[in-house]
Amino acid sequence: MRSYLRLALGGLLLDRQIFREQRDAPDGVRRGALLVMLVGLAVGLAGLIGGALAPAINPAPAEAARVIAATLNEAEWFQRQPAELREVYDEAAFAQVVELIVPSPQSGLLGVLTTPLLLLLGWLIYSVPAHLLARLMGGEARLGQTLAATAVASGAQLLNLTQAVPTMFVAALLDQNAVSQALLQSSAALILGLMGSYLAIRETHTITPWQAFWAVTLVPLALGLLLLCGACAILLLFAGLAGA
Amino acid sequence: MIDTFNGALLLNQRLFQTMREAPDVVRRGLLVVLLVGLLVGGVNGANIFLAILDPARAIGPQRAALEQQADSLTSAVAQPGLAELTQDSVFLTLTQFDITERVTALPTALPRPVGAFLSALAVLVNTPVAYLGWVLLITALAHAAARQLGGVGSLQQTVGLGALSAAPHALDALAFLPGLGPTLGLLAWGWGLLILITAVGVAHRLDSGKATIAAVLYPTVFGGLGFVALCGLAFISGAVGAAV
Repeated sequence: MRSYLRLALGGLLLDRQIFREQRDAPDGVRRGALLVMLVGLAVGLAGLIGGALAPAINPAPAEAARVIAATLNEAEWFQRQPAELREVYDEAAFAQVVELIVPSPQSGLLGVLTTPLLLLLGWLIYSVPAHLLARLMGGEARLGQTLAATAVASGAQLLNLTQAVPTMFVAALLDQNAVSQALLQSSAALILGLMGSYLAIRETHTITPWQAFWAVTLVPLALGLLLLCGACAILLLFAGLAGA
Repeated sequence: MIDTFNGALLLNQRLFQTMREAPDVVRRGLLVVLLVGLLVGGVNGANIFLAILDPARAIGPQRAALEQQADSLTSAVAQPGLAELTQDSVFLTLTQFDITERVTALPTALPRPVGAFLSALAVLVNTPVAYLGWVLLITALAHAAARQLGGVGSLQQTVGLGALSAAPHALDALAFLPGLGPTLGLLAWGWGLLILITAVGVAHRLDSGKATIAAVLYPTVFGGLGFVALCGLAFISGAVGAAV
């Protein structure tokens, strides 16, 4: 277990030596897969703890939604708004928002099961195309070496362990910087993971920095574009069906 | 650690050069981010703790200041439609204050001090991660630009040295002082930029001109693109609204 912690911290601190060790390890893929699963399990457990405690320190969503809707309807400026707009901001809508913001024990339990699998899937879906791109650009590493090294980048996900500490959702209303902080927080693990992947590709394939950059960046860009096209296609399909 | 912190603030070139050659440059840089994050998070967490226990006291000064400014804000705007919009946005903020006070008063399973403590703890642990997200973003952009300008530093050196730009943001811990917050924020931002420029120059062995360009190029470009995109969105939604 200690060696896996060392690997994960190596990914978190962009330790070149760790990436090289993984690249050269005879059982690198097995260790990498186990590392990704363990990191996913740790993050999932953190989500479970946070999800279990959050409902205990927050009011019931239905009660909170009732108070929010009532306060809004008392406001004179809100009464002056068009009826269509006022109908959108009703109790049911606020209850859904509160339920989304406040984690639940059910979502925490689901997270323990799905987070390791999703991280594992993400690792494979990301690393295989990145390996192929690196090979196209002149890299000479084997797929196993690429997978072993890119697994270390999953150490960045350790930043999500902070979700073990729940918060009252009113804290977001009292803290003016809550939204910008949340955005920066969610980007930290993503950017650090990309940096780790960049290092993994560079150390494994010994290609130039710019080649490694494109091998690492084109994959999420292409996947994002595919998702966007898929979403647009589905929207058009629904629009067409609704129109018919 | 304190020597690193002080050296960063004083733009100590020797410190930067020593760190550049250190194998644990990333760890040392991220420790500065952690230190600053915990300091600011601790102060903000304490403020959140007190605010949740007595929201009326926390919100009171903001409410009074806004009510005082409300009339002068709306009278400063000439166009009737725009004056009403300004007035409504003031009322929206006042309603948000009402909602915060009423929702905070709702009963929870655990006593409110427990929720307040956990929320404060959440701010304490999440603030360093938010600062890390910001540092990683600016150093990644600076590294890409520096490489294009002929820089020779590694990603680890850029991240480790660039992380020192978080040091002046210890001033953010004083942001709650009335009247001083924006000034201190601006000071921290400017000072941090100077440190980043120095860091990029030392890491990539660039002169100050190229280091400055590297530090500000991509944030300016993406910031400008983001602004144009926002204006475009506002224009399109206005055009659609007018057509409907």
